[in-house]
Amino acid sequence: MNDSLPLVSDRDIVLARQETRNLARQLGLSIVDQTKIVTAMSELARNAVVHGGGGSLRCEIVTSDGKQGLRLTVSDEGPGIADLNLAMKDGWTSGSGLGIGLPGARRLVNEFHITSERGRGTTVVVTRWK
Amino acid sequence: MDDRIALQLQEDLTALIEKTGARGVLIDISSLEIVDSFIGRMIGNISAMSQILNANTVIVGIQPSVAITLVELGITFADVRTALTVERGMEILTGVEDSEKVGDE
Repeated sequence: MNDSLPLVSDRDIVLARQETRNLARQLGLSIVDQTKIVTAMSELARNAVVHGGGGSLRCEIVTSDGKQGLRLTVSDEGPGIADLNLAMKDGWTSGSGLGIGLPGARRLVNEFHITSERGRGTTVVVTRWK
Repeated sequence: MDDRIALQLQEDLTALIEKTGARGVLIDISSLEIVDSFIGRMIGNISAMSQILNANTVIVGIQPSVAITLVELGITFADVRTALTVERGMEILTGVEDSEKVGDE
């Protein structure tokens, strides 16, 4: 399954959570792992909506070395992140948040890749293996 | 629960505390399948705001998977009072109420 969902409004974040939850359940992830990946997705989606001026989510079930996993790609075409190392630090925030979104999301998944280019946008790819 | 509803809850609840003079607030979040940092912050804010308005807040019904995820995310609810069930939450609230009355006399 390969789907791209818009991430523009609060409502889109809720729909994206439901889609991610459905796929995680379909894959057979445990309740705890389902909750972790959906929460990570929610953090990334909010970043895309609030800081990236909107973006999109792609959810896919992937296979590697006989393992199955849920991979999420959240991308936006916003201003990009000036200092990625700083943005990945616990407690650092560009706004009014707690500053745990990105580093927190990284702890909730098995694989986390982020690329960001100033003026071009940000893409985060995360995977939770079964 | 979307972001706007969470923000609305914050406003409605504080208005209601002022209007009714409530001394306790019990929030059951057993229906929430996830609590991310935004909703976590709202819960912390509601708890702090209620405290300032002289109402104790107890959050009940946090699912085990949500508790595990919250801690890994970095949210410990250190300043938020929690209980497993509505009944235990009520016990905390009424217990606080009673002991404060004794203290006032």
